[in-house]
Amino acid sequence: MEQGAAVQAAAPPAPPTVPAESPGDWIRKNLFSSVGNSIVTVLFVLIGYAALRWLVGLVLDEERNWAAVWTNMRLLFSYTYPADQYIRIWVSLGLTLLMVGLTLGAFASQVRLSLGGLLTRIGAAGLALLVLAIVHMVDLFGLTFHSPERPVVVMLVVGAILAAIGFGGRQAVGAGSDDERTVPLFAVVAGGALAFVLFLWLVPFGRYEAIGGDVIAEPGTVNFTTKFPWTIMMALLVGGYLAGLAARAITGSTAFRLFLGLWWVAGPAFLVFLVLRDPEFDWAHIWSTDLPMALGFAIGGGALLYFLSAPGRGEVARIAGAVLLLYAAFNWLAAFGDLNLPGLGTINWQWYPFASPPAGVEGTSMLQKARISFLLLALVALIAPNFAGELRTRLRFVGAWAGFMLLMHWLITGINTPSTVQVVQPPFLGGFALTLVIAYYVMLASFPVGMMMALARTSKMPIFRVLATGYIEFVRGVPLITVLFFFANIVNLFLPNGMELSDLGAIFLGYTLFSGAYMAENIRGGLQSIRRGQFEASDALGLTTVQRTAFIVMPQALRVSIPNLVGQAIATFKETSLIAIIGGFDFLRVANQSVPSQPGFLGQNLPALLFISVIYWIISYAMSRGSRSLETRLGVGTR
Amino acid sequence: MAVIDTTQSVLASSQQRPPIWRNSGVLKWVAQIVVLLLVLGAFWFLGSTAIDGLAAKNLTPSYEFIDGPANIQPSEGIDTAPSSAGRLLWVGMVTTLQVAIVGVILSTILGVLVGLARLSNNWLANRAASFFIETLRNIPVLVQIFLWFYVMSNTLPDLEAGEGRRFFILSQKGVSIPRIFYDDGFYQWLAFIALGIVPIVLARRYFNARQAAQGGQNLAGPATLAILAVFAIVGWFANSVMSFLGGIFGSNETAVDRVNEGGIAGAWQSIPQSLMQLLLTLAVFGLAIGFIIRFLNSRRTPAGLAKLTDDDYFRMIFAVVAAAFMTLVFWVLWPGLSSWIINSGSDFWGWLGDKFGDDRGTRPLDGMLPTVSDGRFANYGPTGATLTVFRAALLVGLVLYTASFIAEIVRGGILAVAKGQTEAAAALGLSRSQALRKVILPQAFRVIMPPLGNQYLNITKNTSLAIAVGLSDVVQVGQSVFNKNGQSLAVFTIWMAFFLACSLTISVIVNFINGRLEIVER
Repeated sequence: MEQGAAVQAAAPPAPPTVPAESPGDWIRKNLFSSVGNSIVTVLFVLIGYAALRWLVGLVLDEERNWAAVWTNMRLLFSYTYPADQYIRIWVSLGLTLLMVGLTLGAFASQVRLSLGGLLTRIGAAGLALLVLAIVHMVDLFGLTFHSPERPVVVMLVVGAILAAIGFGGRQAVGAGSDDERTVPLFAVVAGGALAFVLFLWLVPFGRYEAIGGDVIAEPGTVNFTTKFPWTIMMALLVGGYLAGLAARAITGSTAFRLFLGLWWVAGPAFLVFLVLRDPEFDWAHIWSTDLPMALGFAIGGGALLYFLSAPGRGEVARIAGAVLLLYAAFNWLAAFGDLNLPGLGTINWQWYPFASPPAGVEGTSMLQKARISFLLLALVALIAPNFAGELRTRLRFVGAWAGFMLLMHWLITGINTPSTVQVVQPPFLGGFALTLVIAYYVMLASFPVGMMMALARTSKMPIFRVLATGYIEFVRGVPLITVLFFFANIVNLFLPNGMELSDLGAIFLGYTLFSGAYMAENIRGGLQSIRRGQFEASDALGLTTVQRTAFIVMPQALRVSIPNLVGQAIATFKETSLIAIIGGFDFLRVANQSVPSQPGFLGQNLPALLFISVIYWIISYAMSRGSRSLETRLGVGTR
Repeated sequence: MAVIDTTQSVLASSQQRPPIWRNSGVLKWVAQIVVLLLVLGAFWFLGSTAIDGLAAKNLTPSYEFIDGPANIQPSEGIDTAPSSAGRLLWVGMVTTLQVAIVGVILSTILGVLVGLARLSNNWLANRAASFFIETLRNIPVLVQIFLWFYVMSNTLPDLEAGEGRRFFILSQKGVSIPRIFYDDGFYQWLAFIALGIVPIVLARRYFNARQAAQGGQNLAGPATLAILAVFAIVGWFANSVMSFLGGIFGSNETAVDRVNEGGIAGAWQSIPQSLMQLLLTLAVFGLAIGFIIRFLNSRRTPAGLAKLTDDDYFRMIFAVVAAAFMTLVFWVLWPGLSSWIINSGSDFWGWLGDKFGDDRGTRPLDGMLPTVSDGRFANYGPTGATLTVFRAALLVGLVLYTASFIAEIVRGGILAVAKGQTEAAAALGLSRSQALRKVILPQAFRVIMPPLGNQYLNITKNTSLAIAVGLSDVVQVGQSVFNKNGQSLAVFTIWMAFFLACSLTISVIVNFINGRLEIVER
């Protein structure tokens, strides 16, 4: 009792001070705490030594001609995109980096990194370089010592400098103060950009060029045509960050976030289809047909939806939706030409002005995008009463529809217009750019597929559930490569005359359907984590099924499934490499086939493959780290 | 009175049904049936377009090519000069299965080791495992397979030419190790060992009872091993006594001879087709009725049968319809299925019967050393087990990639075991390794098993990347077949059937193990 009173009376005790650990103590505690532990340590030192020595030897071997990578950077990243049009690549990259900067500025302005941790990482990287260099020089088993070659000297020097900066800085900052000393993310991004620019302008990396099969490697810094654009790119990234910070403060976050969200959906398409493809638009056709049609659907459809979403018009909307749906279905039926019913004769659609003309006859049929738009309008009209409400709500609903219509019509027109970029081999994109574009759009497009399938699979309606389950389990049971084979070789057989999918379109479609099944399983996991109470509460509020799904269930389910969705995105990005097998010139195919077949670099597969593995690794690793920090910020699993 | 009035009006209004276009029950079914018809219509339409288009190109889908000549030689496999295209596809399937099974075993071992190292107290082991995982799982597996392929063919030594036998050959062309294979007496030996089951069961019963009565160590395990060893050693020399089984199993002759020969194969062969059809029908309906009974039992509450939803009725009707459809398949759509089952059952017993007999040698297992002839590994004849560089690259790439995922699964599973379990095990005086073996791993296994099954599925599907290095797996040979004869649709369905069968097998096994591991709650 007395002791308790004494403790209470005393001032709150200071947090226990951890005595600084000497390196010797640390080693004893973590490496040699017991006999078994010491054996493990020795074992892993030997394994690690052998593995690292093998790896460094593989990279530094004289048979590896790393000029194969340095000369072929353009080929690897953009394949045979014409050099005189290369400004288009830079503009696209610049805009993307600018938007990355803006997004970081708007969303991650609060993020601060621990200075101590950062310095430790730099020091560890330096130490790793030193270890690699030493492992390469010292042959432990033969007890000999190699005199270092030039790359090893560079490794030693850079490693020593980094280790000195890292651990020296750590000492200066003071150990044990990780929590207090932080730097904003901006400083890290700007510092990284600056370091990269300085590297380009100051470090004598060598100037590599291939002229007519001869590789020319001159001493000096990298080519001006490389370092100058990259300097601007880095300036755009940092400038975008600053602009994002400012824009967020000025415009308020909601509008700015909406703008950024729109950009990340539509912007890449803008870059790919308009900037990179340089389509040859038929302006007369656009003014006479495309634009009026798009505006008609946006405004006319919008007006209809505005009418239908007034409170109390549920009945009208259902009838209008059903009529529109029938009309849309009829349009598709008529599109396929005469219908042969076995035993019943042929149904002829030629009385309908928008039907497809028979083969060999000139005539106009309805544009595919109009058919799609009618179908979408019918579906949206059916759910319009669920978005009924005040004027503001209805206007937002109509605005979303109109924006979506304009975007879709523009996109379809852009895709269907031939490209003017002259390339050796279609499609116009290849290398890393193709990998990135396919991965991005497959992720984006498989999302709605997955969401629909997840909802259908968890639905209480048996036929929907059976169909969705069948689709998901079938796709998940077969390898991606067979699906891609199917779509690359066979799918066009299934399409009626006059319809055809381009190679890239077929791959994209197949990959999206494949990825959608996995996406569905991830979202289903989220859906199943929603408590029953949420459903009951929304029923008690009188919400309809659509409202409950859109406003209550889905937002929570998606938040729970974020880690899995990012995992899926990483898998999608990695598996894009399978396109190389079915004939697309993606990052892997360029590295594994185009580069090693050049006369100067015959058989040099390994340098290019090692290089692309590093690039793949950086992106996948960054994504997984990003998802981990997003998880923490959203508080998944802690609420 | 007023109170009664309101009650009656409420009753009246609740009995009044909503109009049909506003009745959600009706609307739901209408929507479902419309979508079902649309899907079926789309399938029918696309399918008939494809068949018409193919017929116009003289490529009507058919499976007749399976019996036709192969025209292609697989680069390696159980048969490098297959007699028919069907045999060629079978060679590819066996290669796929070999790689998948070896890959599953090796990646599990490596994954568990790395996962345990990731949890180690030892800083170096921990970091090394973390480096392994983070590096390998963030690089596409196809890139890794290519990397291994070029690393092996660029850095390994040349295959030394000349004849000769060595114990171990590591070269650019592949790895070769001594091979152990079944010799003639193998099946007789297995049958002899199987005789040991009787003494094993008796001994186990005795030792278990003794431990229950007297305590102390349970000697059932060592006794089992000892009896097995005795039977294996005696059987090694005396296996020919089991040759009489050959007569019981029957022999591998033509169908008519087999019936005359008697034995199980003959009995199986003489089953009439209609009897087999009847048995299959009964089995399918038995399954459906069993499902319905179990389903209804699961809905039984203390207050009686719970109210069944549309969905529940659908499940039961679906079971009956599926059974009826299968009956249709057995009797009308594919009557050949029954005779196929009869023939292959008889084939199996006949084949087994042929493995027994007086003329069999007595040695169950034998070995061979790697052989090099003409600067390449011998494919046939007395030679070692050779892993060509193609297969090695695929296997190493798949195993390392999958092991990095399995390691994370193992680590997650072990961390999911509550800390109190470790502490309780320590309090009971178990050593660290005992605690791991008897307390933590069995519980972690429950968490680990479902995602582990997924990884097994992944490795099986990823064997299809063999096509990248030119290894003749089922996808690669399938592609060469349809490049030759244009039967892409038929080959595609064979691929799908094969991979779906593999997936289904793995999920059945994993679900079975999961069921065994589940906590039984009272």
